[in-house]
Amino acid sequence: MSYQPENPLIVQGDHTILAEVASPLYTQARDALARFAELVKAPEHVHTYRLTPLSIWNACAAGVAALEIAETLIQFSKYPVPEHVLIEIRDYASRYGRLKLFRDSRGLVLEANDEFLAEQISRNKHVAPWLGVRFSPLEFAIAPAARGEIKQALIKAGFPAEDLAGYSQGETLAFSLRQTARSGQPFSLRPYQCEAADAFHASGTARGGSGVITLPCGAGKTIVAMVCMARLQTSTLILTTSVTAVRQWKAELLDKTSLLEDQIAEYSGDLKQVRPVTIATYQIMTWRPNKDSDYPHLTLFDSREWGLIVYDEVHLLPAPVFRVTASLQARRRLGLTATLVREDGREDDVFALIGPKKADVPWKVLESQNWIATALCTEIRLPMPEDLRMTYAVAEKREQFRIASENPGKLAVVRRLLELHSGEPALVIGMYLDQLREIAAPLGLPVLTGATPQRKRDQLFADFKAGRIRVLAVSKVANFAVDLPEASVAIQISGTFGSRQEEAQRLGRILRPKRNGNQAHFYSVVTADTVEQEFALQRQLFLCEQGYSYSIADVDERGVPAA
Amino acid sequence: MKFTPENLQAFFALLPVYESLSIPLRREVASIRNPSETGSKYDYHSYFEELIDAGFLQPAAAPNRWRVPPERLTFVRLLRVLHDRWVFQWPSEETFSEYIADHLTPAEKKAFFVTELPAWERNSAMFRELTSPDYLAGFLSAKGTEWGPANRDTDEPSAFANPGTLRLAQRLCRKLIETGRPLPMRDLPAWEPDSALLTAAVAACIRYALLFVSLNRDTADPVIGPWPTTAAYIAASAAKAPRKTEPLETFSPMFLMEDATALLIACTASPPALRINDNKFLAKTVRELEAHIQPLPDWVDRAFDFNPEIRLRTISSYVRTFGLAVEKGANPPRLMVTELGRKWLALPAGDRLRVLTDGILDRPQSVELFQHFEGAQIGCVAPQVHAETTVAPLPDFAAATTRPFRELEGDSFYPLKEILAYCRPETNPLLEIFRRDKLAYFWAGSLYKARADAAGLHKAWVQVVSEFLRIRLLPIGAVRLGKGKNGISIAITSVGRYFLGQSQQWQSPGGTASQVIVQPNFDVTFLGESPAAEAEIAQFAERRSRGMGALFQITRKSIFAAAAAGLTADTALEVLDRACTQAVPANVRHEIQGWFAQCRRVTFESAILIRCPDRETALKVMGLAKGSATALNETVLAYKDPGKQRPALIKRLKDMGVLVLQDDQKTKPPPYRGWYGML
Repeated sequence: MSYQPENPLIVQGDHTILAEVASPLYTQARDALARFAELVKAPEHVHTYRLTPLSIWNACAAGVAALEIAETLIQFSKYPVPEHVLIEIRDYASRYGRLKLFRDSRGLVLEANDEFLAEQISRNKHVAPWLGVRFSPLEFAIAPAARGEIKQALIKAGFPAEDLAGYSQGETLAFSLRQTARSGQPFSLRPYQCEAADAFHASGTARGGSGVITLPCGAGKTIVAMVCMARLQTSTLILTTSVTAVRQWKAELLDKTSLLEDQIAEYSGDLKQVRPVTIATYQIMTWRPNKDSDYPHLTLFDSREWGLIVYDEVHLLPAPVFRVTASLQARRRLGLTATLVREDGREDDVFALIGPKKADVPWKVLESQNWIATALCTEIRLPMPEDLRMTYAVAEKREQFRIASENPGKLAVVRRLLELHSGEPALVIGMYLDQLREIAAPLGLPVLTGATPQRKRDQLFADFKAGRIRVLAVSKVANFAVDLPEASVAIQISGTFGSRQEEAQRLGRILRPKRNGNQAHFYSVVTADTVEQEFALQRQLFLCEQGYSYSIADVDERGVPAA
Repeated sequence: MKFTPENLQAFFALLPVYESLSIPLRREVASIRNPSETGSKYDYHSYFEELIDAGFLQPAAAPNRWRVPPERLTFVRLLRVLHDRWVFQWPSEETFSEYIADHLTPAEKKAFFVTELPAWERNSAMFRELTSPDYLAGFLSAKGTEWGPANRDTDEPSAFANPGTLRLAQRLCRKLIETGRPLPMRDLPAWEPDSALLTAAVAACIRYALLFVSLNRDTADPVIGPWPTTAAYIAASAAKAPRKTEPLETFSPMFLMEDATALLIACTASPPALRINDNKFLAKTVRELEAHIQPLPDWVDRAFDFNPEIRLRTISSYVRTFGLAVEKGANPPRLMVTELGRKWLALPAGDRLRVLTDGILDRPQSVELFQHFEGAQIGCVAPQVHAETTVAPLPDFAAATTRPFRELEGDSFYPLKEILAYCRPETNPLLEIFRRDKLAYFWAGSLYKARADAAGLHKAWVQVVSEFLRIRLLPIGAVRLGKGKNGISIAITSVGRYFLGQSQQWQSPGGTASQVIVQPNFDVTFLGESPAAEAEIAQFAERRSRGMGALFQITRKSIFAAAAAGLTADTALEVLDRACTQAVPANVRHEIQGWFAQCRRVTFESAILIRCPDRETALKVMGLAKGSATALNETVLAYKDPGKQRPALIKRLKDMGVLVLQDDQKTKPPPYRGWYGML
């Protein structure tokens, strides 16, 4: 095979795959790659994918064969695919299916397809503790509670198990999706939402029922979850990030399904109800009176015969919930996220314990199809005031960040930006409450922080949605799971040390499709030549890697950003 | 102890017992020193108990002494003889001589001499005679039972007096030559059920140095076979032409050009330091540069021993020979890319390779840039073979070296073993000379052959052919390599056909269009090959990967490093604008300019701090220092001594009552004033 310039892919020896967007065959190649490779980054011209053992096993679990993977790479590659990559794909793929987890009259059984493999895993120090009685040279008993741990351990050992043990049915809960929402708006599913739900459900076979769906903020992950619930017709426990999010879920379920108020419960710091559909926060699940005691609310997992557990924002899954999830393998599990990037790097555990990635649609694709708004990202840099330079120079690094973030010059920039977008619903987002208040006060903006009582929060959100408030100043609480569909401008005046997920979540606040045009603006106001600019660079890189163009504007002497 | 028909019987009888032992225990049995004598248990190391259990030790008459049982003594003594001579692992004249001394009596040795030779020449002569393929070939074609050493005692019956013995011995020799390696002696009884005939034949073969016996180093099995080089020679005469094969995995090496490209790119970004005494790379530099060259697959490395250090040292010679890089500077000198080298990098891959190939072949260059290059003068065939001989004219060594490869059909794979085995004696130019001049000397690379023998020359020639493949054909991509059930295989490529003179047409290996893209996340991705652009961009970007899809990332750190090297924002952006196929994103442009603008240059200067107690004193000092002092603040001055003026300044200050305390005086203890406060 010689050089094929029209082809979009370059497969490298370290299993990285570069995909040229400008190639006429790019779309085909991308759709094929998505089945067996992880998208690592997607800046404008060349996207990067990676083949990993896990991505190949996930593909095998979805019925993709090693030969198909190799042929796809060869078909779309500009250059000959390195031979050792093809050999390793065959090797990884050959490991899938050699171990099966199934249930029979003896209980949960792990079966190897040959004695050598059975011996190998029985001697593996990570796997051995989870193996029970050896029924035969090829079969081991597995305790039901260890179903998750054994799968995790086998992935670590390099031999994934095909989980055919099925799921417990859970309590039946009959309901349907509405065609017209209770609010009166017509309601229909988008094609990618149906595809994501189909991928998860897999027509009710053992191949489906557990997995993660990655869709950008504003793409309607909640809808996908509702579709899955409707297909399964079973009681559901939903875990999410805040009380506000709990109430949004409840509102959406009531609006778009035939479920009634008395079928949906809130389980949070304020209320502790348990009903066929129960929505709880991660915080309440991981609350304990002191650090030596147990987590009393984790019993919620066993309080009913849940047929489905939904993990909203699954990238935030706290460690105690991970551990409990390991013992919940008999229940269907659905993870939802916009960014499966964990700062602790435990993505593999998410896949092992929740399930493999079932759907992943890049932001730019949904943007090009107008399902989410187009966002223009701009970083506005302003100089440090003279009188703060020395203070900044001699401060500790953490303090330097604060000094730079709280640059008083930012007020003028925010004012100017709000004037530019006068009339448009906007969020001013910050990390430092004092700064937020100092900026909000002269501009007459209401401020929403963690200390704002829930009732007031709900009122502010409602006013904002209704257009009675045009601009809202918010702190971290608005980062996650707050549904503000009409926000079209976000002005970030301080961020949290370059966290990628924070950046993604903040952008997500304004990505929902707009009624009046589909353009959103994301501004980051940063003090130039400071640590704040350095951290802003990390966030900038992340957004660029998602495909967003990022422009930089310097502020002039008047404090006005250059055009 | 000698192998005789009688003791061979005993040997074969006990062989199964010996073979049932573990390998370490076998080694222990074979290494029992002085088996006829007794020893203490400490003489048998940690295997004492096991030796007793296996029946190879029993108590001796004396207390606390042990010995080999009499019924096993012969066996152990014969094993001991086998143990000491590794004729199959290290076949040499020295090993041969020691072996002969063990296995033949002086009279038996003398039987091989036809003419009286001086004593110091006898062993060499015997070695040449008995390891000569003609000797073994002569035996294999012998019909009569009188065959034997020329000078043997005619009153003594020939070991082949029995025709059956002769025929069996010939059959054994042929079989062992065919297998190509020594076989375990335990397999011999299966070939001939008549043990008397078998032992007579084996003993005769050993006595007449037709077959040799030793121990296998890995398994401690007694093994038997012809002299290794002799067997290879005879096998080569009967070798069949190599057959095509289908490898399971292939690799196309072209690392001479690739390594040169990588080295020049690395040198452009950061010229490496060289050793002052010989201008070669420092060990540290070699380690750093290793990261720049593409690793070869493990199986290629193992088969051909191309470790990165060898590659780097080789390629650094090449780039200098071709004028692509040159040593510059001193203390330390550095390897700098020349203008010609930069232009070479800008050539397409095919042209870069052609420049190197034509240069090695000393052909006129087709690439215009190198029209004036007169060739590398390193010899297209290497290692070059030289002969000190009376034979004239000499055979064409180059043609003979390339013949085995020119005989192959292009693009088809052939097992390398078969190619080398097919280096027939009749095409061996060293043997051609040797037949006419037995005293010829030969050398080729590190190979030196004096007082050669035919089998040794055959082996040397095969090595020359193998080395030619390794150091000439492989690096320039003249062959593709394969790995499969027939081992390593090779296929001649179009470059190979050009190199070997089979084709005058240069067919460039597949080239790629240059395509460089700068992305908004600061990645610079090479979708096609462009070494010139790589070399330029490497000056201000960090490399993240190499090869196809090479990746750089522009970072603050890389821009600072570029600024330190004297690069400016305009230069860097000009490189990107020129090299990239898409416009440089605005945020990248903005950041590059910003980072360059963040750089500041400072200088370190030495000065003396003068700390004054008050402003007035500081003013006095400044007045006297006459411009050599600068006020850092009201009471501290920085004084730069313009040239040993300091003592004069100190004196003038003292005259004004300004006493200068040197640093060491501050820490000196006050003088002792005695008991009454007096000095």
